[in-house]
Formats: sequence, C-alpha cells, structure tokens
Amino acid sequence: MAEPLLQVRDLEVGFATAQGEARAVRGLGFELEAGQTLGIVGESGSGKSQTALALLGLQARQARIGGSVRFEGRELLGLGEREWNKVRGNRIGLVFQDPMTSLNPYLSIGAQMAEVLVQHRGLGQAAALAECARMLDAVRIADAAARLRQYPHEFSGGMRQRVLIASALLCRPSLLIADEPTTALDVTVQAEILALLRQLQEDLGLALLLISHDLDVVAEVCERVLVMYAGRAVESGAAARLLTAPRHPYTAGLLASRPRLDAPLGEPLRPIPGQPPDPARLPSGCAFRPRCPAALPVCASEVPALRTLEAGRACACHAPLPG
Amino acid sequence: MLNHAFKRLLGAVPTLLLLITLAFFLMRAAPGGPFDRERALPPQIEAALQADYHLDQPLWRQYLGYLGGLAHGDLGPSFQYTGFSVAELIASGAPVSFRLGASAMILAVLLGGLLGCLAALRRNSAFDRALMALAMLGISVPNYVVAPLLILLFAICLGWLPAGGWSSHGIGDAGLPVLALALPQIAVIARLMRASMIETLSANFIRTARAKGLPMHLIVWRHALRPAALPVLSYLGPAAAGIVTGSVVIEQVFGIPGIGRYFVQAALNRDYTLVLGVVIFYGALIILFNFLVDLLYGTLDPRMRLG
Repeated sequence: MAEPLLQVRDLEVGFATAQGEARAVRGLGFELEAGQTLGIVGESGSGKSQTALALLGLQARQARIGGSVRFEGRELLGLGEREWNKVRGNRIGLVFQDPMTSLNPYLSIGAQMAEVLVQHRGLGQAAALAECARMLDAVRIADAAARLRQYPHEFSGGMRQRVLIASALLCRPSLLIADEPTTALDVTVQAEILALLRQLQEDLGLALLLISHDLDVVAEVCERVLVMYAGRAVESGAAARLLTAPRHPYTAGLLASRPRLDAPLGEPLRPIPGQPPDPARLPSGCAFRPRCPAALPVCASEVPALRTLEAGRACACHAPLPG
Repeated sequence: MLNHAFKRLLGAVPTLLLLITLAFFLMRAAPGGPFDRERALPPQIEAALQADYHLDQPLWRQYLGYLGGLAHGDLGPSFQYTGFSVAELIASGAPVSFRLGASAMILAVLLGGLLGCLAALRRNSAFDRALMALAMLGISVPNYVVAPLLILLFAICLGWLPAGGWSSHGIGDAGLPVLALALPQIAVIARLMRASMIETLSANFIRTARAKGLPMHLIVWRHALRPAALPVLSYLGPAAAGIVTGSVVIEQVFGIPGIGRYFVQAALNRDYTLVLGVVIFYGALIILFNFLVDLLYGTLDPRMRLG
C-alpha cells in the first residue's frame, strides 16, 4: 500500500519550565490521505495548535520536538531552515486563527500574496499579481484586481480570512492546515468560510487538516475526527459515528456540554467538571481521570493505549462507552 | 493632508513665542551685561552704548521692540561682534553645524538601526548582551567625557584622525566630532530598535510570513523593518534636540566654527541678541524637524494616510 500523504508518528512537543518539562503534545499519531479531510478537536491547551505549528517546523525556538512527520514520502522533522521553506506555503498551506492580525498592516494585499509566488515559483511581479487576482476570484472576493492594491484595514474580518486562505493556496499545496480558521469571526461569516473551505478542498483535491475547539465546525467539514486531550489522541473515527456514538467519556462530555437550541428553555448547560491538567504536572495514568465520571482504579496506574475498537475507530480508554 | 500640515505649523507659533519670551527674560535675569569689563567704562560712553542698543529703555519696551523686529525677520545686531548682525553670524555658522549635525543624525540612524536589528535577531546571545551593555554606557556617559576620550584614542594614541579643526570639504577631520556627537544617539536608537524589532517579530503577521516559506532575511526586510522603525522615527525629534545641544559642546571641544560655538561665547559675553537668535534658530529647527517626522509617519503607515 502506498504511503499516505501525511503520516505523524509519536509526535512530541515539550517546553522546559521551572516545574519541569511541559509536554504540550505527547506521542500523537495520525494519518491523512491525499484529498481527505481530518478534524482535530480539543480544548485550549490540548496541544492542537502546537501540533499545527510543529507540522511546519514553526514551533517556538525553545520547544523540544520528537517523533516523526512524514509528508509526501519525506521526513520533515530535522530539516534545515532552507528545506523547510520549500515546504511551507508551497506544499503545505497554513491558515491561522486571527485574520485581523495575521496580515501585515503596512503592505498591500497584492504585495503580501504575490511574494509567495515570487518565492516559490520564481514568477515576476506582474505574472504573480495576475495569478493572485485569479485566486481571489476563487475565494469569491469581487473586483479582485482593485482589491489587490488595497491594505488589510480596508477589509472585513471574513474578507481577510478569505485573503489568507487564498495566499495559502496560491502554490497549489497538497495539504492545507487551518488552525481555528473561523473562531474570530461571527457566525454567519463562519458558515461562509467553512463552506468555502469545503468547496476549495473538493475542487482542488486538497487534503485538509482542520483544527478547532468546536465539534460542530469540524463535523460540518471533515470526514474523520480526532479528539485530543492533554496532548494525546483520546478518540478518533468517522465524524458521523463519533458525534452520534462517542466511545471516550471525554468525547461524550464535550458533546453533552454543547449548548443546544432544541433543549427546553432554562435547562442549565452541562460542562465537564474540573479543569484540563497543567501540562507540566500531568496526573498519573489517564490524564482525563480526575474529571472522568467512569474512572476505575486501573485508570490511575496505567495510561490507556489508543486501541482500535472497530474498523476506523480508535479510543484510548480502559472503560470505553458501549458503541 | 495639506490642511493638517498647515494646522500643525500654525500650532508651532505659540510654542516658539513661549520659547522666545522665556529666553529673553531668563537672559536678562542673569547678572552682568554685555558691556561689563574688568575695567569700568567711563559713564558717558556706557550711557551712549546703552542708548545705542536700547538697553536704557524699560524691559517690557525692549521685549516688544525685539518682537517687532523679529516680525520683520530682524534678529538685531550682535553686541560683541561689532558690525555684524545676528542673522549674518548664524548664516556663517549654520552650514558647518548643519553638516556636522546631519552627518551625526544619519550615522546614528543607520548604525543604531543596524545594531539594534542584529541584537534583536540574535536575542540573548553574547553579541546582544555586549551591545546592550555598551549602549547603556553610551547613554550614561556625557559627550564632554566621550569627546576627549575619542581624541585621546584616535588622534593621539593611534594617530588616525586629526584632533580638531575643520575644513569645508574634508572627511577626516569630521570623523571624530561626528562620532562623538552620534554615539549617545546610536546607543538610544540601538536599544529602541532592538526592543521594537523583538516585539514586531512576535506579531501574528510575521508568523504568517514564516508559514509562507519566506527566508528570515526577507521577512525582516519586507515585513518587520517598517513597523519596527516607527518608534525610532518618533524618537528622531528628541534625537535632533540631543544633537543640537550636543553640538554646542562638541564644536567647542573640537574647535569647529559652527553656531554652537557662538552660542557658548554669546552666553558668556551676555550677547543678548546673539543668544536669542541662536535659541530661536535651534527652536525653529527642532519644531520643523518634528513636523517632518510627523509627515513621514503618514507615508510609512498606510492607516494614517486618510483623514
């Protein structure tokens, strides 16, 4: 069988702190085939954004990285800066959370987009700008040629995110990573951006790695979902199955804590009790144990391994919920 | 835009008027007068001199008279350099002082900016620490200490550059005074540039630029330099003031025939009109420079171009 487009094995991201090493990502593994979509879901601090940064070698300078990231048949971890730069923006596009601050306020949109093509394709400025205008059309920004001469402050939040998506796709990467792409936007714009991402993914045959704290966002776009807790994968599977029949108590807790419009008026929200653990002081055994309603004695002594429960479905729990 | 510029210039008039008033009365409050000598002049001659320069009139009339002359662009005659008007003296010294000050300013911006950027890119390295320690020293040691030390090192021990003097075209004799004048500003600008470059490099749009696969030197040049330079730009107004006051000392130490030397001599001689003339000249220069910096701000930041 051919190697998948992206293969992450035992990924580790750690930071030295006064309390010892804070392990932001702990032995994370997943695969993504060309043209497929995977959503990574977790709370803030679960390690999902650190994962995104590590996949492009953009982690903080003092971070310790371990494991393996194979992409297009090549190991990425350990590449030199020059080799990394041939991957970033060229083979892998990355879109960040905050479109208001992710564009340079001092440069025109055209200058910020064209530089990607000048860098990776060696295009001249005029040819690059023409290609940028085509890409702005593709993300449905009207009057693209005129818009290229404008500055970020002349664009709304949703428009800026479209610009960032367009820049990330200029070199036709085979993988797009979107880290909370809709979190800073209001709900109607959010829906438009998600629809756009899904359509571009289909049209361009992209593999899409969508990172979000919001299960509904991920379910709307992705075929498969991976749930992260305290730097580890706790459950993964097809989006539809995972959302309707969670096997891990954490996934179940996340689903139950969502506010619902069809719930009777005045019914209280049901948050998961407690706080996510401090990555420098993780509890023994399963990291979710202190908050878990179904914890067993074994949960304190043994870290549950990620086990395959059925085809395409894995869960890291000593007492998974019935499927 | 033009309207805004005009308003800004108009706003400078009260500032300048306040400056003139303060300088006028402070100068008169100093003991002694322009014609005091070790040997007293005969009373008749003294009285004639006083009358000639209107010093016998009440102070408020002298003040109004001075303002009246100023309104016509007349800075009055010098009390010491007989036969020369203050305007002539300033015009003779200004090109020299301007060359000295402008060279020091350009050197300070280029070298301070470059060192600050390098320190930011190699943050917490030995280079960074050494540079910042030197910068602290450069800020805290006054130029009347730095200038003789530079003369001692480069002119006397090494013999590379002349210790003083000034020719209208030479580079060599400008080297030490320009360096002495620029050093404190290099130190301040390097520290400013380092801090603001570090802050800029942590901005989200820099992360975006890195995710595009741009090499670091291009990211610094295209994306970070302009926003990081803005705090340095706002400092150029105070820097100009520092260079003006510094040049008063430096021109004296190196024997340079600029305005600064007239200023010191005039203050010691109670040459009222010459002191006032130089104060007005310096004041107007600094106000004008701050105004130009403001205009530059607008061209650097696209968000300030409207309105």
